[in-house]
Amino acid sequence: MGTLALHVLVLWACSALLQLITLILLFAKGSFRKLPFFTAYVALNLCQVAFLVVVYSIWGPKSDTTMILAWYSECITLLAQALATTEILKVTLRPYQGIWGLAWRALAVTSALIVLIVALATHGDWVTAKWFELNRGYHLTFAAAVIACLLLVRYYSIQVPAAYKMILGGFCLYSSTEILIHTVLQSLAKKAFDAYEPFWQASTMLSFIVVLSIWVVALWKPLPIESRQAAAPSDSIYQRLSPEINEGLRDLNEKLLRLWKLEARPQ
Amino acid sequence: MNLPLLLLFGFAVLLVLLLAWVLRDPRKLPQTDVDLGYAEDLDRRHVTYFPQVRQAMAAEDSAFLASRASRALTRRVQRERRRIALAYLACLRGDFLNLWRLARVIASMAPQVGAAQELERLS
Repeated sequence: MGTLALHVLVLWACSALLQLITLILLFAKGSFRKLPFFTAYVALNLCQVAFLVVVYSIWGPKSDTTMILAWYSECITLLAQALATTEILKVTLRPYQGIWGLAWRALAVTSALIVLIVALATHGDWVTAKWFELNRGYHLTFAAAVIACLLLVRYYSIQVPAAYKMILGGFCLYSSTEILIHTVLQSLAKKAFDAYEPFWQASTMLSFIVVLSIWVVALWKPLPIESRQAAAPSDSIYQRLSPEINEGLRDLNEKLLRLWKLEARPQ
Repeated sequence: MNLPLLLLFGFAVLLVLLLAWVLRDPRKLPQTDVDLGYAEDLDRRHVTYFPQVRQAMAAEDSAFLASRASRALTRRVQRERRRIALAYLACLRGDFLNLWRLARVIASMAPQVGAAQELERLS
């Protein structure tokens, strides 16, 4: 632990403290029942801190073993992050079965597309910075998929409770800043990563601290009671009205175009 | 900074901007309760007056008026017609937005939503 910069240690302690507060809030307000995967994610993060303290104490921060163990532990928390996010989206969209079905498809398509882009974009130096590339690729896919879902939610004017919005926003913010930090670092550091390591540690931890603070505010009050079940009309209503409305919209569009042509014609 | 890195950086900035946009509260929240009564009024909309407005906008009408009336009167009528056409456009826009909102509300409440059906509205 001795070779870590003092400011990194301070940030680490702040992060651990905020994680602990988040976990306490989740249990104290009973929110863990609604969001078990999110609770597990926060708990896993806290366990990761303890695990890294032990690993750093035994092998030191510069050892290869430390790096491998730290990245493996990160894989577990990233998996938990994906599950926690899916859980929140599912809770939010539960009353809207059709939209949830659509959101799932949007998630799958966006993720596949981004994975493809990431694989193409990082083909050149895949071996040299494998872990960083994987981590950034994950965050890129994650943030894009969640934002695609949030766009869908906004398009259909679905009301999302503020607490869930803040948690989802926190996840996305963290992923976006991770991408930014990794990209800037990659362009600056190139092969001399060691010189920028304290900057990387401090900036990623700082962004996580910001996210944790947002979550603490979000979880300060108990999570809202299950939103009322939307009065679901039968599938036949959608099947009947939707094409009819689409036809109406097309008709209006054509009429507007005709009016436009009429108006644009020289007098 | 090479091109892939530049693209990644741009994409990350775009994600942050999109995040800020999707999370901000919309100024006017549409009513969540579906107004199915509007669906019954689909035939009673401003669009039904389209033939009359189109007739009023016809070039033949203007030519006829120009041949019979004074220049000042012709100009005044043209001005009035343009004002009516603009007001009518605003009403058509209202019709369009109402229909669009209704379609989204029905989709959000449907147990199964067809992606093709939804994409058709965006195309």
